[in-house]
Amino acid sequence: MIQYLINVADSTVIIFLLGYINFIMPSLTPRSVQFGVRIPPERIADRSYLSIRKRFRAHVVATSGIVLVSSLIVSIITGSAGFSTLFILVEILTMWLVYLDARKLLRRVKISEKWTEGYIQKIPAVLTPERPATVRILLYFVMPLTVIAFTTIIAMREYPYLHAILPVKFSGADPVAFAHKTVQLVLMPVYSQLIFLGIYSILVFALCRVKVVPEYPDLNRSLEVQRHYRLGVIFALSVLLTMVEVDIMLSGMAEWQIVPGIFTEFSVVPSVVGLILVVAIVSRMRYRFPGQMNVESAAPRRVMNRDDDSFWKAGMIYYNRDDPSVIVPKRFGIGYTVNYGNPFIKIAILILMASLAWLVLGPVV
Amino acid sequence: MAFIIEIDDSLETPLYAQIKLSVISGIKTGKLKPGDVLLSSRDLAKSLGINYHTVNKAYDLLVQEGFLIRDKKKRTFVNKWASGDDSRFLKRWEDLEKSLIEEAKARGVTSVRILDIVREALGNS
Repeated sequence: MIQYLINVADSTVIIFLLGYINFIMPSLTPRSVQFGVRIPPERIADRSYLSIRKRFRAHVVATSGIVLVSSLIVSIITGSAGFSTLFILVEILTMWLVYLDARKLLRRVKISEKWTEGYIQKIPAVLTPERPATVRILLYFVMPLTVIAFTTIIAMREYPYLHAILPVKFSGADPVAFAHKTVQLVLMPVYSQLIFLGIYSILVFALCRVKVVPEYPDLNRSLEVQRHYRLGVIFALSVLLTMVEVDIMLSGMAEWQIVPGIFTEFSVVPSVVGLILVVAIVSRMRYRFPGQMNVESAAPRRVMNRDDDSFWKAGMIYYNRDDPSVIVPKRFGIGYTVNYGNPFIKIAILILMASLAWLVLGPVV
Repeated sequence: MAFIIEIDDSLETPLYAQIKLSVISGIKTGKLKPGDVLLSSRDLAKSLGINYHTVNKAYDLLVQEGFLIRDKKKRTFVNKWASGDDSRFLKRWEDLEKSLIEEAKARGVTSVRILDIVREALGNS
């Protein structure tokens, strides 16, 4: 019963968070790129744009509400949370359709009203390398490393008191086998924590190398905003990682019978709390965007960033063969995406597809 | 404050020439100082979203003309002589100027018009 309630609560929270993030999304993206469409920043106050944004938000509230209520009804009727993943996928799909609708409308207005006419379109870029905020980024590693150290200490302290035969488990599921007690087996949760730490380190490294695009009309201010945003994303991920590490630690502690077995059922709660914190951190950044961009006061010339809509397929997939960038900031949404026109990404996709084909067809062939 | 260059791919001026001109302009206005490190050609190409060879061509020309220098680690700096008096540069500039004037005269551009263009360029700088 408790497991059922926790699963229902988890999926409800995730659907709500997805809807909320989409609701505030127009405020999280640069003013010069709305719904994946490059527009002159001055057009952010245009009546046509404002009505499209209003319509987008109304659709987000309506569709998220319907998905949320349907998910709850199905959970109550079936008495199981087995359909949760399906409803989360439906939520993602509907959010994407709502976004595409807004994008189509905005592109139509932009073209019919000739928004870019009279503008000089330029490509700005920083020529001098920035000094990375190394100390600050290293500090973001302290929280997850503390949890890992704590888990290791507990594991080693409990080691002498554990049974000689231990179950081999993955993510709190039923044991897949039993094995003799070894240090490696007892430290399995710590290894899992280290894998997540490794993934985070790779993400941080990639984020530090992601390209920063100065935006008109205030190039320097837009750089500050983007650097602040990037540090915010790294911090938010660090919080999420810490909560996932706590999650693994609690499962381990339940395994070693330091805490009651019921903790295994609650172990997913820290990860969900981590997701809520990530959304809270990102939403807080939202309020800093409009003030920092200060569009109205800094428009001495009619200059805008080059209209690069043609490189964004469906406003989400970046394909530019001339751009050597691998990772680029997302056009709409939080975070970053890849340049599908880059040869490395093409090779990576081929490898991924071949691996998937092998996984699916391997047993058949 | 970061030094930002701006290029326009709708102009007839090639992109490498625009990059070159931006760097020279940065040195002239003092926004780029001797010893300042520049992004590698690959990183600048990423930032601009253009081909790596285009940026490399601009950097090569700037190195050849003495505005930039490259060290053994392939890092690119502003040359400490870039903004000062350079006799080699003056010689090259005189040669180029003579050749441009000869070409303009051959195409029928009057001396008065040439002087006007030079004055205009000096006035804008």
